[in-house]
Amino acid sequence: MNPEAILPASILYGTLLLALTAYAILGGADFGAGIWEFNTSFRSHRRDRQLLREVIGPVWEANHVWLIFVLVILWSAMPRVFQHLCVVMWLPLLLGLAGIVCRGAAFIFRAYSPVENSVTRTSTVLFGLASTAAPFFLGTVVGGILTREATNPRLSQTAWLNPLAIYSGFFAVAVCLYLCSVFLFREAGLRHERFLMEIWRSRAMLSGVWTGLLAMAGLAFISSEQPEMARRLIWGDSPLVLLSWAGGMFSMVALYFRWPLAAVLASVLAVAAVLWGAGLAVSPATMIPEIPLDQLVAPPSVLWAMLVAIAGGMLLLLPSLAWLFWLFKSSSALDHEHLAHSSHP
Amino acid sequence: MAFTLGSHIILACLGVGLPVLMLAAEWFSLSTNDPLWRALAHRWSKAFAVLFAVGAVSGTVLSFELGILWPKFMGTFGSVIGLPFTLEGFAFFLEAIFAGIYLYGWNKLPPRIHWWTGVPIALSGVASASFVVTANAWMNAPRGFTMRDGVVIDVDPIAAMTGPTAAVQIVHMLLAAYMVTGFLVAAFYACVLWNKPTCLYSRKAMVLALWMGTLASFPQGLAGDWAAKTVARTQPIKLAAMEGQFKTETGAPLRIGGWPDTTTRETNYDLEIPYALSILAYGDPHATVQGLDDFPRENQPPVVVVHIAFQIMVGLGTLLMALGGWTILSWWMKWHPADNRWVLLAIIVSGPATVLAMEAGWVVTEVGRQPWIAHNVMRTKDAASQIPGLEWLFLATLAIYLALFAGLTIVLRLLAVQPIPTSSNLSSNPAASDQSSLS
Repeated sequence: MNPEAILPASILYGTLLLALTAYAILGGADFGAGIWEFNTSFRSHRRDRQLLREVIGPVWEANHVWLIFVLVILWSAMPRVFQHLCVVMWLPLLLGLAGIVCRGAAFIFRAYSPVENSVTRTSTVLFGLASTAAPFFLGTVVGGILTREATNPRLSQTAWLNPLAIYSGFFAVAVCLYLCSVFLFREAGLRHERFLMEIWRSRAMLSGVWTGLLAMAGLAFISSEQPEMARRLIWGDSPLVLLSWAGGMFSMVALYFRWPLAAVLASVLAVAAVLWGAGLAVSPATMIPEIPLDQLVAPPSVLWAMLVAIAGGMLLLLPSLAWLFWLFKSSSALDHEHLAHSSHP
Repeated sequence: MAFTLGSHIILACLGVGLPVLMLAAEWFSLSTNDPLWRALAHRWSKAFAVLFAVGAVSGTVLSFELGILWPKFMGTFGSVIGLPFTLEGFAFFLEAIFAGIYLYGWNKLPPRIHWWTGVPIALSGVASASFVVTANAWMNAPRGFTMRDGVVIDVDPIAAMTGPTAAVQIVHMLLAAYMVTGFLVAAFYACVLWNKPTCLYSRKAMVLALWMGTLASFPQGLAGDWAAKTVARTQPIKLAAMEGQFKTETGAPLRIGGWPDTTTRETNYDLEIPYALSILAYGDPHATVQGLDDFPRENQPPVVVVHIAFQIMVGLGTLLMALGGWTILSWWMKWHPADNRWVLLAIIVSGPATVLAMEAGWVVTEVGRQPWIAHNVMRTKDAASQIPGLEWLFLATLAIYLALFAGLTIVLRLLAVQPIPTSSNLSSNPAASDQSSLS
């Protein structure tokens, strides 16, 4: 690789991982809502759906822009990698994409349709199905990248069909379930919905245990299939898997003692650490052997231009995003509104 | 891909134009305290929410499709056009954030501040459309890089973004977006007024939207002329196809209408204005206009499609300008367009007509560039994906989009037929009032 490109490329790869983490956590929690609805046979009641609508409505689009962000950074900074992934992974990417489209449309149609009709009923079913399909297929893509098979052009079309990739799909769905229920536990508390809070607390603990078991099974699985990858995942330079495990455990404790904010932060830590562990275990430099290193990343001029653009963009973006989340997610803003509503019925 | 883009472009236009209408309505509601304006602002913001959401998912489809359908193009040139897409990502992000704040913030923010949270939506709509068009402009006039052995080196992303066609394409597209939104929304209310000509709410809505279309249509004439001059300079072969100019000619005439015959290499049944093409393209009646036959046959775009699409765009654009002229005249004479059935009919037709004109313009620029995906640099067929069963993929996409547009129409229609809120229930949260009807 061009030595001048190493620094900007590393910063961009870090940015890419950050954006991916943001998508996995915020977008994942959004997906989780649909998966829960799917798994409870759509027997969610009105208050339940209203909570979902209030919680997801203002932020879901912003949450999903992170994915576009990931794609854009990937194709601008590492166009050959993007090209390769698109050729190898076209089917799961398309299936995941179909899921994203259907769930986005279904959510908005249901939320904005002024009356209950066939569109809203179809939307409810579609919302659940598509919310499950999207993280599953995106998970298989990540799993496919983790396995070395993705790098073998002869196995191109089936790279995402190996056991580890399929496992990753299931794991992604479990993570979405877990994140969503922890987040909704806090959101229900903010809105003083005791009943919903208890529902989401038990769901959070259930899915937390399930995700934890799945993660351990996964580690055992990776150790047998890809010992080298397992070694890097668990004993790599930084003990990220251990950190994730600690985060997951602490979130369980926090759920048990009903500390909503602590549970949310711990669950975020648990998921972020897994992703970063995986992200650092694959080194993009060796991911696709048939691409010469000097062609793997874009020229330094492009990388620096992108970094400047990203830094400048973040100056605008971060305060706006903070305001959005403060308005709709902070306890003080919501409490204020709650008081205002009760004083003017 | 073409189909997805063709659908997305309509949503994108509304995404650029609708926030402006919504803000105008809210502005009038704040300054006049008229409940009808407030109702209009609410209603348009909901329509915007639905359209923006569908536009957002369809935009996600596009960013995936770029890679899945054109892997070679993205692999080779992704880095060159990466910067505008990165910036577009931010613009879109800001739009999504402020859409969230604006749409769900009616009751959380003081009215003035709420209005201001809509401004970034309109601005970032403009910005993201501009950045995307920049990437398309690059495909028409690629620069800012050197090719060696099929690999891009020496990339200058700023030069790639500021190509000779970028500015004019951005202006042309943004004006088109405002025209599409203006005339399409006006046409919708004209349909309502056709049956209920006295509905005050629809009269206000139609006139406001009509003005937006009108104000955009006149500068669009100038922008179109600028665009043609730029095409003449950067892509003479595209100009030749647009005008049905087969042979190189000095003092070339402007051909209006007509059918290019690819076997006799002549354009027949057209109306010719002597010297006009040379004047329009180069500002000199004796300027030489290159014909298609100056170029190798394998580099020529499908002339029939390009010429006809260009005629449709220019013809409809001119008619829309005439409608704009009538709008100004009626304002001067204090007529109301809803009182004249013929004008109402014209407005109803103008909605689909602007969409058609815009799509035709898009066909001109895209088909006119064929067989190249990046002009003179990469052929479309070399960039395309080798995925088996691409036609099934296309059918699946088609089905999903049809469902998407069907759902969109039903929901928008439902939103539109809701009784117009009166001042008493306007103060309540629009989200809350939806909720009560959902339950």
